[in-house]
Amino acid sequence: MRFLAILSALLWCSFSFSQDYSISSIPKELLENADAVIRLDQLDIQVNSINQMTYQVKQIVTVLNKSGDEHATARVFYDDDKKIKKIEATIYDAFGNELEQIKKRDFKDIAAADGFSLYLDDRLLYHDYVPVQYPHTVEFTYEIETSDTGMIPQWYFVSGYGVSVQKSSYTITYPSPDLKPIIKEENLQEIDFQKEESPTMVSYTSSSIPAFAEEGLSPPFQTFSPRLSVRLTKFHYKGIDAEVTDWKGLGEWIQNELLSGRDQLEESTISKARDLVKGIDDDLEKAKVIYKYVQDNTRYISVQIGIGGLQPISAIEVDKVKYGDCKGLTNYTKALLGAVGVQSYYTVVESGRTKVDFEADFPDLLQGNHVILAIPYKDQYYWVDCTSQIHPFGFIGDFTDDRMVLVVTPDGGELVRTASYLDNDNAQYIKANYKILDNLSIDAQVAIETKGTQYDNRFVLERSSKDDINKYYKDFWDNVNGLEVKDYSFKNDKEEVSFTETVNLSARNYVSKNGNDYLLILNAFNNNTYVPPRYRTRKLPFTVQRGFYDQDETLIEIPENFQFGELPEKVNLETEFGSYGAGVEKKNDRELVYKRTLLLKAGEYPKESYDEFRSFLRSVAKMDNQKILLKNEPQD
Amino acid sequence: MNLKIKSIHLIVALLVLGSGHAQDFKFGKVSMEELQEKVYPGDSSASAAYLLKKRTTYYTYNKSTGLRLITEIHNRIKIYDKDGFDYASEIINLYESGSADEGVSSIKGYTYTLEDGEIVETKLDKKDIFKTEQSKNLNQVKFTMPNVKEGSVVEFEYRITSPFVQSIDEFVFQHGIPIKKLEAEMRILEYFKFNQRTKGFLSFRPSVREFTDHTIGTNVTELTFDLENIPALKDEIFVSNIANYRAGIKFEIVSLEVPGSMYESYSKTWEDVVKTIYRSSSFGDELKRKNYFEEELDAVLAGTSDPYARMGKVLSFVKQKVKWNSYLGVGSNEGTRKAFKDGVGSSADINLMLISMLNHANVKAYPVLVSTRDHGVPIFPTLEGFNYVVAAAKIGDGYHLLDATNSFTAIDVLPTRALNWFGRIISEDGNSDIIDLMPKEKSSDIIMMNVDLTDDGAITAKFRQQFTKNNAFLFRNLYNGGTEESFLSDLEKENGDVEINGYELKNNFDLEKPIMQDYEFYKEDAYETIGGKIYFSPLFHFAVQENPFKAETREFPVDYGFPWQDRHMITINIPEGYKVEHLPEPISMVLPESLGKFTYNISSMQDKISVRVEIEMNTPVFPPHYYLNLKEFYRQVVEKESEKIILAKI
Repeated sequence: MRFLAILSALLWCSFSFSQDYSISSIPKELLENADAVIRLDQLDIQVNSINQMTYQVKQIVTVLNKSGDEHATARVFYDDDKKIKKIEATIYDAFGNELEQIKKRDFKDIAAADGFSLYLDDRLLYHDYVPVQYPHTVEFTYEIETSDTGMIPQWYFVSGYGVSVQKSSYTITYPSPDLKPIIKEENLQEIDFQKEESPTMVSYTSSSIPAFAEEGLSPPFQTFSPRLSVRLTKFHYKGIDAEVTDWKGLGEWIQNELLSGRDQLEESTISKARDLVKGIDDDLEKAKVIYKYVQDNTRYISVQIGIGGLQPISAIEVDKVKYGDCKGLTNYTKALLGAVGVQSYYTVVESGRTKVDFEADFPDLLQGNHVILAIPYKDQYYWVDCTSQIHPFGFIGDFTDDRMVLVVTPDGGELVRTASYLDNDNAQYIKANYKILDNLSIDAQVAIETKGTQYDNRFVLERSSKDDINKYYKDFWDNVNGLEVKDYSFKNDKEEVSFTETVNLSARNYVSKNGNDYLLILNAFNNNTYVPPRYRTRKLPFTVQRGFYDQDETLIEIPENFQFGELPEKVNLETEFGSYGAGVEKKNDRELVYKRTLLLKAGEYPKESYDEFRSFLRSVAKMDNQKILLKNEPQD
Repeated sequence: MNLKIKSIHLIVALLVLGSGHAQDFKFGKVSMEELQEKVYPGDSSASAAYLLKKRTTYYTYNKSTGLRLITEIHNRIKIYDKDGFDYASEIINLYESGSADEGVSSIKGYTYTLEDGEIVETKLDKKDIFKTEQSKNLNQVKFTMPNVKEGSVVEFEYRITSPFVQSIDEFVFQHGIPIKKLEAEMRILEYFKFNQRTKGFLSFRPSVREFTDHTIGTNVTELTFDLENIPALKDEIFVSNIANYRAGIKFEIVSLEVPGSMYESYSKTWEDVVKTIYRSSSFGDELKRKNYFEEELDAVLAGTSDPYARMGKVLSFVKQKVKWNSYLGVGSNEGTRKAFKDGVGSSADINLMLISMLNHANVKAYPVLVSTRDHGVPIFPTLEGFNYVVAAAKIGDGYHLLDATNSFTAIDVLPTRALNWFGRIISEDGNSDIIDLMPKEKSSDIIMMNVDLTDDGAITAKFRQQFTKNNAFLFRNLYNGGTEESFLSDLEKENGDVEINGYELKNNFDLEKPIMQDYEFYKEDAYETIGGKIYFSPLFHFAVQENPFKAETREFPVDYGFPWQDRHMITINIPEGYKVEHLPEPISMVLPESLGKFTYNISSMQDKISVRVEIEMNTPVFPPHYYLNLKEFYRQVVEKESEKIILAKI
């Protein structure tokens, strides 16, 4: 042990002597697209025992401009089980001359805030350096001592967009083979690296990694950026020991150490729950009643104390105060379901609009940031999010859909994919008619039905104020100048997960008069103007996370003394990304029927396909903006 | 007893009026009617409402602890729907300074809910109250009420004890939800003189009573505010800071006198404010210090005699020497000398240094006290009304405003935060006057371009754009904030995915000159062909696409920050084989009192079409009664700019 400490101290010193802080030594290729250059990013971890780990961080960052400031922040989170032993920073000018030294006492100590929790016991030590010049270099070092070996820092060779790396180094030492970490290398084919290994140490180094430029529709950064995931099979977390080799085992640990006994309820609550489902035999119907009860009677409040970061507050406590975080509300719902004889499983998930899977071959505590409930019924799972008071039963929307999650069953954990909303499931049907008046304004009735993730985007409308709804429609139809909403009504069918909006509106001068030509844009109510940004040479692959399907039918009526000019041909586009069709038919001399469909498919595509994808949506935008001429000639 | 009989009558009368409603505001007396209410009468969009918002602030004296400022809070809140749940949580800020700190006690809370027609009470448990040490000077006590559902009424009260007897938290009379009944009481000891500063668009007046507090042995003035049905405050676009319009009252200390032991005056009239500031060592003294910079500055100024040029040199010298650390304030923080040495300082350090250097350079300069946009508009003479200082340099008869806290400010171009109505210019002898902070000269954005139509619906153009004054300031901050690669890629995106080539920027660092950017661009899908004819808007993608003013009405001014003009001068080359079939009609229109103007001119000659379109706003701020004019103005702009040129085959 002593030997190790000395060794790392030696390495530390020998390194700092050779560091050159001046910017002149940065290779040119590292300046391209870079707001900052990481001169050195070094992490040395010592696992000393199952419940004692220390690590030292040293980051030297040259900040080239204001946007680069975010890559040189001096901030470290800590808590009762994670102590900051040492922290300091030094600032250098462009020539490598020292400008300022920042000592531990200069750092500010504040309560951490995640933006939504009422209470967190994490704290943050930080220092905001005011740049006096660009470029400048910030050297930031700190040392941590913690008993939580269950969360070993991961390693990103590149931390994000707009930053290049001159040298990156990760070293982990351990005293015995049973504390040897399992390291999963991800996307390392992207970089040159050296790996060294001895019976008590593993290290990785890499140099000269150019900056990634951000591009629209890119896959999540972590899915292509070179990084290491690291875990111990035997570890310690917030006072609890564990030994985990697979997801089944991690599920068992969660069940036994975090959940066991927390689903007790008062007798009175149990009998209340049973009263609620009296006369219902079917488990799924019972589950719907209980879920509604939870939605109507609780709300989401986040309080995170100690292991509370992972462990739910007890069902009895939630029952008393009628609030909780995702863990507490899920565990409470599970307990109520248990009281009426319905089986359900606590499920850990990485939530967010971006789909992130749990990695099948890498069970660790760092994955997942949210908890939902899985209800097994007739060989399938129904998923519910207990933190939502408004979502229909069994509908999880785009927050936790279609991804691998950890379901904690009494037999341990298993990875399962949540409900997927595929292209055609995310549908919008518009049925509209508009009438052009003599003064070129229109009067219109529009009915919009949405399903799947499109439902998820829309059903909150029924809970919005009149002002907000008005504003919403003016933005939604921002292609129509001077739009006025006359009235609207909504129907939310939670059973079918379908939302219908019926809107009456008018717009002044919808038809534009140019000389003797009257121009009419056929597609008034679903005008797709989105064209993905153009890149001279696309560098990253792209993804469409969720597909959708739109189908519109609009009846258009023109005033008596007007005639239609030439009508456009029907269009049909078929591509690997989806399809589009639009066409107009004359019903009689004064009426047209405009029909349109757009299908966009979810998928992951190589960068080479990007131009074609963009050209597809460009054509859609162009066709959606298709105009026809109206004539106003006296008839014989 | 030293009661004033008249005042008592007044109070009684008000109480009688106030109790005309059948509500009982004693703690715990929540009624069935309150629980049954489904929506807030008068604003059905409210997701919650204060049924009662009550605050009482007064002083106590105790031999061992001394004078203490006590604030008692009692709130009763109705939760109408799920969006209102946020109002069931309370965060209490408690300040700490050295060994003195504020504390909260007697927290008591209940939630009332209707269950099967019965009122169910749920008590707030002590263990569900959290205390955090937020930072060195701030602690927080937080709680959320138990058993809250749609329709619940929550009620809580607590008491804050503060040793900081001179600083009274603002009385806030308006929130994002309506208030049915508001009661506020402030009892001021005669030792203290406070200025009252009312804020917002509501009118209210306290009733006043005076009496003697025998425990302290002094006269007390009691102000009581009794208000009903206060509407919710809603945010809108082009509002500089919504808090400026929030109804409330601030008490700012003027003087403190304990008979026979102490007298301290803080401020009273404008002159007093000025004197207080000049007398404080962090301000007046800082203005006189100059030995630390003399040598360096003299070297910079050597050979320059024109006062305007000297002023510019001083400004850039300060900007180059010292960077702003984001701290605001009227008085210097660590001293100008230290700021000069460290290269970092607060806004006051920097601008007081600037004033002192200007005077040293024989350009007469004065401090101007400013309230930043985030800080509100100072109406009454108070010390806390200002939080910022800039320089006014006098050359000839005119003043020039200067601020060195941002690298890209210029003479008469202040950072946006300082553009807030009026400032107070002060001189050493204590004289002061108001000075308009808003720029007089319009900031312009001038586009000149020469456009060719390609065969496939695209255009190519030679493009030049010029920004002056505050527009140039905003541009420079944006351009210099990142790499040119990312700036250009953003610029391409903002302009509807154009492809930019040959980008050239002039005067990036020549701050007294306009910014000039030149480039060529290519844009797909810029015109349409229908029935063999070509249609396009003369402004192409530079046309105003939608009306920024969407709301039906507006209560607050429209605040642009500075007057401006956008001008487009476009030459379009008519493709061979085509002729003009139709051009939109030239028009011009003005807003009332010529506050704004739109002109649209278009003509064709041989193979060219010339377009000149201009929007200008001659005032930085439009009072709310112009809102409908502005909305209609923009509706017509959008409509006009969407009109098309038609080209037909010859």
